[in-house]
Amino acid sequence: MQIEHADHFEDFETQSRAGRLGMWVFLASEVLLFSGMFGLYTGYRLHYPIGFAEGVQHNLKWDGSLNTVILLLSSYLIARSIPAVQRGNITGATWLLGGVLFLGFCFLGLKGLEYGVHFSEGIVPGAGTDFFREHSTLGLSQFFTLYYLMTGAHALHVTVGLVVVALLLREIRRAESIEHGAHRLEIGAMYWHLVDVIWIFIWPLYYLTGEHG
Amino acid sequence: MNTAHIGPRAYLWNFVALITLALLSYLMSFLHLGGHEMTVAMVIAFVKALLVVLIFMHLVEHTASARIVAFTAAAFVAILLSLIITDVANRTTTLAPTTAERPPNTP
Repeated sequence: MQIEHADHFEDFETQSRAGRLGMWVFLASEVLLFSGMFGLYTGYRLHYPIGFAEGVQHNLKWDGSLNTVILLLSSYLIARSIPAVQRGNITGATWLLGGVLFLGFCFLGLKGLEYGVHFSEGIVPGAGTDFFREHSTLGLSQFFTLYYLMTGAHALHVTVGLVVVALLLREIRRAESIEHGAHRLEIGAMYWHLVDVIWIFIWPLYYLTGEHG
Repeated sequence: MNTAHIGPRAYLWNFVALITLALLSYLMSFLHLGGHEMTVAMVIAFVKALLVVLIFMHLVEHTASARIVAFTAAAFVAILLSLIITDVANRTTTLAPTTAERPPNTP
């Protein structure tokens, strides 16, 4: 059976391949954005190894680690939702995507909690609070400024990802066919996975590596 | 569709592998590895990212052109970071000579 496709494509499979390639190019541009921040982190960490190690020790390891498990689980659920849609199991896919939304909100909630704890201690972007006067290690203020920049940019991406997942929940029900719904879900899921990949690198840099060589 | 090859069973094993690696990263942070801590943490993170990209994002099944885009992006990040590391590792502070130290007739 011929699946409906855009006129300028030979068939639906060609259209899907083009869609996936386009998404990879978009994700590569997202990588470009974050690689600048990771580059900044690398330069500062090499310059201020003691200050950065101290900064890691001030972060909430349990919070960052729990968020890692949350994002990995959400990546698993969104991956599982694609074969569910391909089999026509829209109810199952809805539950899986609902789980992704729930976990995404949990991630943001924990991130907000962590920011709240830091703010109450006087750990803010930049410096100028009592915390930074009491902890005058060189590089500590740079560490936390970068921490807010990178985790903030990441949290913004999680928020966009949640909007995408919410739209996909509607899309899998309204799509012209199962193939169209599954394809759109696959493209949207790639964005969510990228958010996971970025966090996979943020987690050790800001929560686990509290030693300096 | 290409995505028919990687199924729920592969996703489950991939998830188990990712959680195991995350647990390994977490436990390593208590081992006091000193200068090796960052290298070990980044190697584990790289393997985890590779698993997500290859299995969850289906890159292993996508077209060669998609693989080229992903590989090029990763390679460019690696080049950027290695250049930054080289720069900072070789940076030395050189002070400009003061007016009194300058030889005469120099701008």
